[in-house]
Amino acid sequence: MIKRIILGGVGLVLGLGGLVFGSRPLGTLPPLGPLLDPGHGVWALPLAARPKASEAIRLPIFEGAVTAIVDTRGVPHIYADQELDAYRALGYLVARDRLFQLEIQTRAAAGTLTELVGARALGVDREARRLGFGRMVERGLAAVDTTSDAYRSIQAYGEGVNAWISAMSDREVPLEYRLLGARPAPWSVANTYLLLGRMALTLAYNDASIQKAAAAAKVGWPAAEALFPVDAPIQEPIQPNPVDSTRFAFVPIPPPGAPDSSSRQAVQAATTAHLALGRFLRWSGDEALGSNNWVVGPARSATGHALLAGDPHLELTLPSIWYQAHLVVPDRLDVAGVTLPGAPWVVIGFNRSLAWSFTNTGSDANDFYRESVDDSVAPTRYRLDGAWRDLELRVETFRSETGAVLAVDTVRFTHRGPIWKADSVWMSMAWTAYGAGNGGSEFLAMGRAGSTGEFLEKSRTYEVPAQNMVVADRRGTIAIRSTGRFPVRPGAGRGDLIQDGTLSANDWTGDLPSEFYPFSLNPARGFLSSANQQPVDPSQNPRYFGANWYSPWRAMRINTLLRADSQVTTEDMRRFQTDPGSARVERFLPFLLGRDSLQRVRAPAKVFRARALLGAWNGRYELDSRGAVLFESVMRELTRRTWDELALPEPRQGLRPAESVLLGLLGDSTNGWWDDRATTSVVERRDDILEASLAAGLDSALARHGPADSAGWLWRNAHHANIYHLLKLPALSALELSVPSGPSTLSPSSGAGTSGASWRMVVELGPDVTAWATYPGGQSGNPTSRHYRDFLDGWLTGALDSLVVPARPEAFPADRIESRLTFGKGR
Amino acid sequence: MVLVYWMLVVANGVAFGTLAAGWYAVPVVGLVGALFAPRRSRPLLTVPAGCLLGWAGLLLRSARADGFPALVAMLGKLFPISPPVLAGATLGLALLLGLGAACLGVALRRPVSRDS
Repeated sequence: MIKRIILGGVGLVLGLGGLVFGSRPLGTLPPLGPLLDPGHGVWALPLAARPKASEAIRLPIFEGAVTAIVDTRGVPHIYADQELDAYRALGYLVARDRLFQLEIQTRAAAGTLTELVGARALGVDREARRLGFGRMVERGLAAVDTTSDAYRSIQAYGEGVNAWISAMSDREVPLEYRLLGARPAPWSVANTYLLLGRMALTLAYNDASIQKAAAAAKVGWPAAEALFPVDAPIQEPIQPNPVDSTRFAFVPIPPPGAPDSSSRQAVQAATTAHLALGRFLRWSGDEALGSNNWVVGPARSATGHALLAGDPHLELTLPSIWYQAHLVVPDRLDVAGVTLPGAPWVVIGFNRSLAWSFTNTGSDANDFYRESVDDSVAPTRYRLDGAWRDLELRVETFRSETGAVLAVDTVRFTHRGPIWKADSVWMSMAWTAYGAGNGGSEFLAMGRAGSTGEFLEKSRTYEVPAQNMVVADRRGTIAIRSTGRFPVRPGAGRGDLIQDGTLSANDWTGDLPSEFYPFSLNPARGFLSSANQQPVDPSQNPRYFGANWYSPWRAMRINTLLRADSQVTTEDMRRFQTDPGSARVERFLPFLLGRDSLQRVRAPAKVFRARALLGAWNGRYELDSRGAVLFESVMRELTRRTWDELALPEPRQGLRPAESVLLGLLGDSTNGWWDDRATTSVVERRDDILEASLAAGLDSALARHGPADSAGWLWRNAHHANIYHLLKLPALSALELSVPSGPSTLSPSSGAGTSGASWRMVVELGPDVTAWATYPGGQSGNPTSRHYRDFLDGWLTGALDSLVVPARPEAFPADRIESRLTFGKGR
Repeated sequence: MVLVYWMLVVANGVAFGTLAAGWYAVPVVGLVGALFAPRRSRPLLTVPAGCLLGWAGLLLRSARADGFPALVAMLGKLFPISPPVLAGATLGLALLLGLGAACLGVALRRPVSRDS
């Protein structure tokens, strides 16, 4: 008996101990029981990733039959009798492949990340709520036409997502949920609007006023106006100018002047908001966020067919921001390309008649207003035209994973938008995204368009973020248009100055009519392109679209390549997308080498050595280049030394005029900006700073990368692309990838290497539309799937996959089929 | 022979139970396995071994999938312990739960007379 009691006690201790041990988190590890469970835990992930050759899925949401063929690249081709069924199937398959991504990106926009990951996300959530995403979506949903095709497609897509969430087994729960100890939340229509809003705000935030005002506070307004100009000093517009060549429009830059103290307080307030937004939007601080696209007309293509290339440059993540798909509904839709996980439409892609791609216009989409409020701590009213107006107050509650209240904020809005406080100043922000009709109907219509004309007509109402849309069709028509909401400002019409918020006369008066959008159709030169540069030469269209534009290096390079090639092939297009040449290097290198500047015989030996090393470089960012390391090092020094008067304590958001402005300054060898304020007894000139930058750049490169003939100087070892998992877990990321890309190359990579070409596509609009494409990553969000990063090797080398897009499932080549799913009505 | 037989019965029960209900199936199946173990099956030995074997079978099933090498590589970076140790911990958990259940089950069994 005693033996039995002892045995029972031991059993209880071991059994209960094992259960408690397996049920509780262990340090940073989630509970080990469910995690190690070989039927459903991490060990089962490879089983969840294994495709079934065929599968019949019966769900009550379907109205008709759907066949989905998943090809060997993991891309679904959805053939449906009814259009809404196609979106349901797409939602189901996207959720199957990307469920965690769907949830985390919409939670980030809604400001509810804390409910998934806990208090560590409180800061990010607070910024999202302050931006008013939730308010924006609530208002949008209140006004939406629920009978519209766009809304119904969103609804159908959501039904598909939720069907997967209900149907999936424990084994199929994504790894990230297991690590977080969480379960997927149901999907709602609002999530799609949150996603669109988030995308809009990421791309439509371009406030020129902050940098300019901050510069004025340091060096006075005349210099600030020249350093952050409304019009780019190098004109390579997307709407070709009459001379069809680069127009250099450098203007003299006044030397640093007396600080403008009056704007300092406003700048502090706006900068606080700006930095907060920057943290939320995760700007990389470089120009690798951008895009390229171009189209070639039949007269310049080797086959006589129109050609299109597009590669949007965004933050690179695993899984990717894009999900590739092909949707076919007889007589309604036959469209392929990339969708945003969370939205049912092909955003960039092609159909049987045309292809299209976007680059961000980067127009001035938001303005800041200095407001007067009734209480500097907790205002409830603001002053407008001599009277008090109520602020809209929203109480935002932040909850943890367990539902506990972490924080409660009151967020305030004027009629323009959210209002922030910094020091004693309250600043509100107007943004094109607020009140925009981001319903997605234009994306739906683009996919259905049968000609360039129809595409342009259907996309005319597209609002935010403004995009440079290129389109080419099988008839050989090519076009480009900057399409979106361009606010019309009162007075001089400029949005690059902080406005007085107490006057409604300073409010936007409307939007620019579409007939004034930068536009070109079938130009004589036979091609069109865009790369985030100022879209129209102000000598052709002086309307204000924005300020402080990206330097046009990529645009110049694209146009140089296209002008030099009168028989463009799809292979050329592919090659151009990863061309390692750089218009930036072509312009700056002569100054560094002393060809466009003075080469002094008595310069320090380091300067001669640096020049010799740079002189041996071909100016291309190839994997085995050595000069690129030194060039970038010298450019950093040159930038820092030239703009030393603009130094800010916050380096990431430091004031840095565009490099095209720096190039203009290099033409003025005695400008006061060359003087180094640290040396009070000497007045430096351009050539002094160039030499100092060469010497310091060489020192820096040697210290960082070792001897100049060592492997450390090879570009493949010196600069890397880094593609992080959404949770920034190194184990799930692809890090330290060697890329033949640099700042300003057509496939740009700079800084931390976390941004770049997120999708590359080339389309030939022949009798049959043929397309090639890739993106960095793969279709699946399951890290053990072969489709988690199977596109990555090709992306790194610039290779594109040939896309197979049969119009009927029966025509699908057997060797390209990985699995076949049939969806139908049932339980 | 009965030892092997009962160990395989428990292993199958644990494997299917885990697939159906999750890791809690291990102590449940182990307890049932110990309570109803045939004579001379030595449940204190066969039940924990069966639990271990059941989970080892499931692990082997995963190991045959294409993505297993990727999983092992990922786990090695994701957790502060190596994948073999993690696999050992997985089997150790099954063993621990099985042993606890076996002890309890044996203690709760109705005493059987040597003559019967």
